[in-house]
Amino acid sequence: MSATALQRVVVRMMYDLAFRQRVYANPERALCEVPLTPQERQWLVTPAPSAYGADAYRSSRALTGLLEEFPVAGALVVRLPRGTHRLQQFFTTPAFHQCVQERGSMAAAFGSYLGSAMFRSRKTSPEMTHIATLETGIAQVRRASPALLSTASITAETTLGLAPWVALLTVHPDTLERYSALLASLQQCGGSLIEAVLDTQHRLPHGPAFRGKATEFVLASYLPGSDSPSLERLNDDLGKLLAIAKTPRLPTDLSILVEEMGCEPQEAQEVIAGLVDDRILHPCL
Amino acid sequence: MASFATRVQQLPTLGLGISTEYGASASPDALDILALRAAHATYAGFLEVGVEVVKGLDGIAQHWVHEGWPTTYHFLDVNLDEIEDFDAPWLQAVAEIARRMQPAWMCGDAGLWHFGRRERGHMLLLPPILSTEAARAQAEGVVRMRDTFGYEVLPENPPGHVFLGDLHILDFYARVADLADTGLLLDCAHLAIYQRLMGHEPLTGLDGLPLDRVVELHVAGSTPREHEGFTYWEDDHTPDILAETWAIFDWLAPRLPNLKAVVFECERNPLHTVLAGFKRLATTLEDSLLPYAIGR
Repeated sequence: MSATALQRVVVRMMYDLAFRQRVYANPERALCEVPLTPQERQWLVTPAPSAYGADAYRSSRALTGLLEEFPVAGALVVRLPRGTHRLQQFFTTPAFHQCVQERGSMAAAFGSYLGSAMFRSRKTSPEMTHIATLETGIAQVRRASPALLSTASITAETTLGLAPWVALLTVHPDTLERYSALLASLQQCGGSLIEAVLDTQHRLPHGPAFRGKATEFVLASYLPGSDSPSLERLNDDLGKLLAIAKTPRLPTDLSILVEEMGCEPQEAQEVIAGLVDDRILHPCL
Repeated sequence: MASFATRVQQLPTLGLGISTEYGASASPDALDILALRAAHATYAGFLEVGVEVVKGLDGIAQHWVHEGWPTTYHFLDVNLDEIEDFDAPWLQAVAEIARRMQPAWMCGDAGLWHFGRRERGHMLLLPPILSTEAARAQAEGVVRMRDTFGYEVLPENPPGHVFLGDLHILDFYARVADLADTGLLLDCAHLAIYQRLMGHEPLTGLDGLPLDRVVELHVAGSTPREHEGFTYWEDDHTPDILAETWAIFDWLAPRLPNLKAVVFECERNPLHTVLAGFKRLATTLEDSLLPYAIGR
């Protein structure tokens, strides 16, 4: 376990110069949260510090991979003052370090970063947060494995939950249209998507102001066998039902909830069965 | 299961070969491996296919496999020491690709291919921590992979800029080989990079290596570089093989009783630039225990 933890610290030191400098300055203090032996801490500071940074393009490559998954939020950040620098700052964040040290998903951590207070101010549009939520949801469903597809038959005792290839998102009602418009603009720029994201000369179209605190439910899904993820606006009742189903429930419990929304018992059971057939609800084993 | 000493006798002798990975043949000035095989069959006796299951096999690799020519499966996407990395989708994909390739064996750098999960942007290649604990974990991964797929799995010493631990890298892989009762793939260029970085002579530690474990050798060019005062050699697979790499290869080649294969990693260089390297390798191998496989 210690060798694994040590290896992960090496990765963090390769991506984050400031962290590396803290480790060299005071290994015990900088690594107080990592269970390493004194000898292992000493190993970390034995090589020349610049050896950790010899691959100068390491973080740029990782960032390119992330921007391919977060093109719209990324393009919005790039067009902020010192935007590219702010993107690179991701590798200094606790979210990134936690992701590496705990074997997490960098895309999830990056999505959290883009949706964080770092990009919320009176001078920036609130669209950033909502679009980051959408793209984080898409990244999440991309990572769902078809191997998780259960072939077990559903009984009254089978608990149902949200399928791993769907993500229920809550965003401002302007988000979907705005996201589509921005993505289309980037795609029509000519060249690769990543070039469009980074091309600050490419002006993004203006959009709505995202006024008010209203929200709507959007379902991101990437069903097994489908070509690409999709986004779908949900009505409020369905969104609330799926929000409840984030915690797995028995079919009868879910049917009761549908009945409380105004459906007859038979109709409620059909709604639940339909969601299972559509692979939005999934047996939890 | 029979011991490695017995199992290795069943492995085919592949001779001199070449490597590729997805898309390498499409890069500018890439080696035309089919032209190499047509003109110098003994230089391209087999193809070592670098595989990321998310990419699969490219057109050239598929063509090679379709012809029924020999291959080895070089993994690019598994951290042997992380049991979580052996997830069901990956296992299934590897099994499917191996079924198509029918490789002579599996091999690959036994290091950190990606941090965290196997995801876009997570890829890198770092050497393992050179400690007894890490050697044990690598060995467990070798056994797990061998048991799962039914192929010999040869761990390879990776390149790197930072090596940590209290073992010499050759002692580390000797322990892995012993614990997993497996053979080894020794990359001479990676070893030269390590030796120089640690201030050792090129041949330091080779006397402690269990030579009968080495089944495959890699040779490749490297380029001296400097970063903020730190000098190192980049493992960039140019045709220009450093003298230190040759020294390691020349020392090893005649001493390996179970050597079955040698790869010249030069996949992104035009044919005329790599022939001298192949010729030099073939000449050295004439004095090794592998001569009949290179056409002598």
